[in-house]
Amino acid sequence: MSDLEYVLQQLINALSIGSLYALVAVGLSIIFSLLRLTNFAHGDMMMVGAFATLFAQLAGLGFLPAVGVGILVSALAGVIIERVAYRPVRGAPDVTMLLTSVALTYILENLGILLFSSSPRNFPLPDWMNHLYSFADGRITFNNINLLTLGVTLLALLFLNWFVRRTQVGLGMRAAAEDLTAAHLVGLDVNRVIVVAFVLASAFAGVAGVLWAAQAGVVEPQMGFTPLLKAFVAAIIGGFGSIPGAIVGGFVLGALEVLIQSLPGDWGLSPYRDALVFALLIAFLLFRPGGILGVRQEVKL
Amino acid sequence: MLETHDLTKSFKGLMALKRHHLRVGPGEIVGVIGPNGSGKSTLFNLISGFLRPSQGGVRFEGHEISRLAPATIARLGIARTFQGTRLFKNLSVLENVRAGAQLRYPVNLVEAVSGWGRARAHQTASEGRAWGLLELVGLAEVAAQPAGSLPYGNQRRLEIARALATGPKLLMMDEPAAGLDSHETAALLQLIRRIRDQFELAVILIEHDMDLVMNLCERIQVLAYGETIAEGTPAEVQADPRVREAYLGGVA
Repeated sequence: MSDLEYVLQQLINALSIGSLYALVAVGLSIIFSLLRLTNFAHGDMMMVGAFATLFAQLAGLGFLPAVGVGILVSALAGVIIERVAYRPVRGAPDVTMLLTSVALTYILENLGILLFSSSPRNFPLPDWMNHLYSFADGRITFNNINLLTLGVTLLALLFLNWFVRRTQVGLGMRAAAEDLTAAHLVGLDVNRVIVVAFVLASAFAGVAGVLWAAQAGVVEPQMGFTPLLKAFVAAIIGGFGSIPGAIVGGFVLGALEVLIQSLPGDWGLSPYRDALVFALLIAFLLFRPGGILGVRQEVKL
Repeated sequence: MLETHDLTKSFKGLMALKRHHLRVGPGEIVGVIGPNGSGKSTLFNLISGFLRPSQGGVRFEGHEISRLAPATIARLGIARTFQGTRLFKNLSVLENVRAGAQLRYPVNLVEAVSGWGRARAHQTASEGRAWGLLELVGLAEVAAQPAGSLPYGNQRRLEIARALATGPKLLMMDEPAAGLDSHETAALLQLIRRIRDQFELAVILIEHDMDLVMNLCERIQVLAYGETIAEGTPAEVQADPRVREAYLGGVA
């Protein structure tokens, strides 16, 4: 019996971490699909969302309204970076856009350090968030943060699916992602489509930032770095530029990490978790660049 | 309605189009022909805003449009199809046409998410318009299929439907008959005539299929090496010795 309980516990862990990766990876993929831009500053939108939530709470707002503020602020930050940093280099070679995004990450993280100092700050949570559920004499435990992470991610992904499939703006996004030139040609307002993409992606990152901070208990200016790298791996494993790919990749990566960590200790592999993950990334890039879902990597003219 | 004046484009000293003049009136069907590299595609790219002229310009209904963005030009009422089609291949046939129709039925982000304001009315209207156009080009039965899965001839028709969905006054077609068999070409000719009459469009087409051009176009302009070497009715152009030379000299 204890084997089954162990597996269940690990499954909960995998779903919880995997859904966070999926949430961040989806945003990376949306933006990549439109602009062929790997938006490294995406991780910093997590930081912005978490800090905004923190300060809204310190200003006296309740937890949930503060989270609302955090999501709005991160969405706004996404609009600003698009307008200020990415729009001027749109249409430039991919490398220019990539370097812009790396530079932007450094600027945002150092701005964060300047404003908030680099030391982690306590992220206040209402007691109900930490409420623990315990089964099978404590061999299976999870708390409301785990439940919320999974539930919120599922809701966000359902919303996204509805948005891109059923709304007219979503149709424009899919069209522009497929052929930006043809989208211009049929009179689509491509600027608006791109702004909407940044709003969605950054709001998702804000949500992920709050959930990440809730799990860690602290916020810090460089908190977005690790989840960004992991989400990047997830997006590539699943198939970069595809929303379903990002979701699949996120959960696969979460499961894999938990699996590596739960391997028997005498195998001695768990300390190398991240090394193994990045080795997998390289393997995918070499042998299956389209990812699990086999996304076409077409060269745009 | 459309007028190019002194339109010139050079690429690093190579003159792709030289002092080009063309007037197209409402409801006219004009053909632009010429050997490969004669500047036909450059002309289309200049009119639709993908290229900026080196000199001269394009007027559409009295407005100078040669410095405007492609999307703005589309909004003013110029639609085009591409050589070899440029569909959203993973979107369904219906969605392709709806993507074109939303230009005439805009919905903003708040409306799209909330369903307030124009959202429902415009979404219904754009869908209705898309269905109507699919009926017209004969693709209503395959509306749910991905555009990329259609046979080539039908992709052509779909691209025409998508262009019409933007509500153009002028339709530019880049080699609409390329890759079609004679049966499909005859059907295409009927379709172009029908949409011209029904939508009161002006049409400019670039075409290598001489049968189509001679049967369909009321006026033909011939380009060679960026220069306009002849213009007139199909009969006049066919009789022009410079045209024969440009074609036979170039090919033979």
